[in-house]
Amino acid sequence: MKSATAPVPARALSSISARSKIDLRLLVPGLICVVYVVVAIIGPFLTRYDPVATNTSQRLRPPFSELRDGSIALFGTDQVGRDLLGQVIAGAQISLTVGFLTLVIAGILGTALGVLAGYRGGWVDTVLMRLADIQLAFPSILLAVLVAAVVGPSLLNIILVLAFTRWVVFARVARAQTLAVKNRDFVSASRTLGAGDWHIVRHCILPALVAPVLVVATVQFGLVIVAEASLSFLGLGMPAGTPSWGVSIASGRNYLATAWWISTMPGLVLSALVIAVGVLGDRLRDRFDPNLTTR
Amino acid sequence: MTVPKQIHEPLLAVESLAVRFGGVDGGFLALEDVSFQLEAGETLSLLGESGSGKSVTAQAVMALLPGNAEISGGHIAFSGEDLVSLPRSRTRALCGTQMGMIFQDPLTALNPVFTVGDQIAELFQVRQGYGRRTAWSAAADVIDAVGIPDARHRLNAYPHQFSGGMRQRLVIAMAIALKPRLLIADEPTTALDVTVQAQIMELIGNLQRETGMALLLITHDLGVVADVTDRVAIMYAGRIVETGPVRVVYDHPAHPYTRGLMSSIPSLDESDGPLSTIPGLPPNPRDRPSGCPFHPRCSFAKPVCAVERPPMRALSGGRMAACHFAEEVVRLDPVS
Repeated sequence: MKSATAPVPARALSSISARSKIDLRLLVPGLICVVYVVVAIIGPFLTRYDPVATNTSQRLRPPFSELRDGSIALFGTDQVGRDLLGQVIAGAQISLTVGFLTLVIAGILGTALGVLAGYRGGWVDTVLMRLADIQLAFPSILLAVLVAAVVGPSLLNIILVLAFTRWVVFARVARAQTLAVKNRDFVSASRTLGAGDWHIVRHCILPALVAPVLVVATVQFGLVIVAEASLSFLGLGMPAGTPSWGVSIASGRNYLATAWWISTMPGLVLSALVIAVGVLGDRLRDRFDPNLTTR
Repeated sequence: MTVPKQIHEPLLAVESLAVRFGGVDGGFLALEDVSFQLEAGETLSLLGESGSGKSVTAQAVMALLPGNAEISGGHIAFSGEDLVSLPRSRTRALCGTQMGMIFQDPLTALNPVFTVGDQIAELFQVRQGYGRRTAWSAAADVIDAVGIPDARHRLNAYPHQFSGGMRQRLVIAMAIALKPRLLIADEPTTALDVTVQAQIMELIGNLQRETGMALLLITHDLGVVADVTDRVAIMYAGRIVETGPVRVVYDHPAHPYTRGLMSSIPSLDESDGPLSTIPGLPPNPRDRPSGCPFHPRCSFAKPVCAVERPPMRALSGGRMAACHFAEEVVRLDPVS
């Protein structure tokens, strides 16, 4: 492309250098995530999916097969003849809602407790962090299974259960960052100018927390979606009628030998999102971490 | 009360202040029996090497002691109010409007995530109830006063966009914004170039003259002190060992430690030979020597020094020193 003989116009050169600045590791997963969000928001308006409608004459059709009404089932149909693509799109809404709300709740709760522990120190710190340690020593999915089994399956319950298992991660990051910031000179300087604790938390500590907490959130997002799918797969997450990805995967497991697509399609969709979010989180961490350690 | 109230009250009076740092091994006293007074408009320098308790003194006055430290004795009276027993809310109200502080490292003393205009204007908004517009114009006036050119425009810049010297000017601007009566400067020039050091000290001196505030200057730089200060207090191992007018103390030290410090200043006349030093190291605060804490390093030490701690005694020339043999030390030839 950059052959030595052909004179390259200046504009082409500048556009090449501009293009090389685009960070593919940030752009590609970012775009994938945007597509998922858009599909989750507008998808249900495009394909009307009815979770209780059955069409036994067209059950177990493989991907790309033509249905009787002339439409093509891109992802195939399941054991009762429901279109898998519609099911996956409807599931996207549930998975993203669960992932987002879980992280908001866990993030706010964990950050608040982490800042409290780091800022106050003393017995508050000891109690909160020992609680966190105890919870971390316990496998989080097991804890989620336990709580979910007690409170029963519903959208709200699964969000609360998952948030309950995730606050620890946020609390630890928030506490560590609080400890690092609270003894910096500019915090002392604010104090000598008469700033109170609440003011210092809002103006000195919380701004310093934004980047690390956001990075943790992106990493946790994938894990939360998988956790929701796992709980639903185990029958402890979303109620059986809801088209969650975990429910779809679970419902296809009896047909794995004959109709692989029922479990595979939602599984692929789930994997793609988790990988995209994971890469995005890693990239964001690479970008922001140097700024955290230096001033 | 039959005793008439004292008519004259110093702005800041620290009286037998002791600060204890806790720890699993029982902790140690970082300050012991520290007393000094500061009149309005006066400059007092606290001099001493690292670990002598200079900064802890400043932190105690500003209620900035770290969590594992506590004031274990004594009083800090600020225009008659005892800061040690005041509730925190009252101390906080005094901070900024009555007392301001300049920090050692201007790189870390400014919040990196807000523009300097936000940070300074906020002071006026929160503490003085100014509206946003008035606060910003007050902020511009303040950073103009500390000699930052193009003040109004620079308000929108972030701290990292300033050089070290300019940042220290910003730190000073914030400290004096609310016109405190006492300014504490904790090694304000240590992190700066020599040329910038002189500018900053000149700025502090000018501001002090204009506003009439008192200055408590904490430093280990003997040269910085000589020009700006009225009185000095020399600290060693958590105590003040000598205090007095700067010229008297510099020319005729009454404490062997002061004398050692003065003779350690390199002189331009004698370019040959090793620099003069004080032998030994400052004592570990957990294990201070008996008697006079300086006696193991002191060339004047007699047996009594290891047994009896010398009290602070008033000497001629308006100074005080804590040495059994202060009179003899004074009579020695002036340090070169």
